[in-house]
Amino acid sequence: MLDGEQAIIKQAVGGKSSAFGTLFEHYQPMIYRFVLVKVARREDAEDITHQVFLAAWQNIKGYKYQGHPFSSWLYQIARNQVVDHYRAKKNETSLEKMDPEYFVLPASATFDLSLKLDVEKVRKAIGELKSDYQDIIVFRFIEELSLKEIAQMLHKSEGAVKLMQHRAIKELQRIMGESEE
Amino acid sequence: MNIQEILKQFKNIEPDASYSATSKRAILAVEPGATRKPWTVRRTILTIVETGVAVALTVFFIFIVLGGLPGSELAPMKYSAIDPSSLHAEAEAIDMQIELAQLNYSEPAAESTAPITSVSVSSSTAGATTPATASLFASSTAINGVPGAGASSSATSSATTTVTLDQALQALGQ
Repeated sequence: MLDGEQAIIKQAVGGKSSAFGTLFEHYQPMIYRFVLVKVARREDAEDITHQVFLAAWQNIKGYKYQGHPFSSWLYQIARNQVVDHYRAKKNETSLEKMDPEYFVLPASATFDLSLKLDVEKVRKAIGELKSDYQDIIVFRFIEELSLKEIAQMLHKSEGAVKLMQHRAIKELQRIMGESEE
Repeated sequence: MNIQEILKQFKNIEPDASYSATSKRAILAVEPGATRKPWTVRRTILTIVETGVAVALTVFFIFIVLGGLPGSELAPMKYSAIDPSSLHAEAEAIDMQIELAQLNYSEPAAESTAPITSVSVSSSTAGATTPATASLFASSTAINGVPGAGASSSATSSATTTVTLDQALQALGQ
């Protein structure tokens, strides 16, 4: 969370573009990673992330603080955009049929080769998880948010989030185990 | 391979800096709330007219569906209570019940029926006549000037009135 986030959000709601620019800089990498894990293709992730912030800016006047973090609103827009993306792509080539080289990680991520392969393997495994588990993996293990923050974002109890996290990681391990066999 | 350690590595993934800058510029170049159309008198009037027409059409169709105008053939649903043919049939059934009641009433004194203005006296049923009936018919005979009818005589009367179906319906309505 940004320092003085509520004041910045208030200014952005009032139409101040610099305030929204600050929110953009803070939250854009998170949304980008969230989307990238779900869609795999860097170009798609960039397009969708752009659409998320464009939609947020266009609807900022309708934003009302309801006790949930601002990121919760952005993640919800991102989820909807991802769903729309898959709906639009439904009749196009399936991901499995595409050249694996297409799933390149962004140039700004500096990994050595073996780690890059591991990361790609895990990303593919996450892609096989159901949407809720994908979300919890991203929030808990990638963004390292607290259980309380995740519970607020997903409108669930902390206990439910903990249980989901346990199941998600177990499922991920199972998929990873299967892929290694 | 520790999955959680690998997942932490995902945090190093950042969008390309030039993409981020371009995206930010493009987004902030758009007016906030650009999807909302500005308020104008013309748009307000159009909205009111559209809403009014929609409501009027809805009311009209509900009116037609639930009964419509009298005699209108547009109404797809007709209540049996106001359907003329069913009313007709119902009225005929009621008429039959009246006839049967009259027959039951007439049965004991069966032999003769006469208009109410005339009284027929039956001697065969004389023994069964009550004194009250006898006095009634005694006065009736006096009014009609029929000679020879005694106070001990018994009398039976029956009236037959022919009414049309419409008259029956009107009477039922009243």
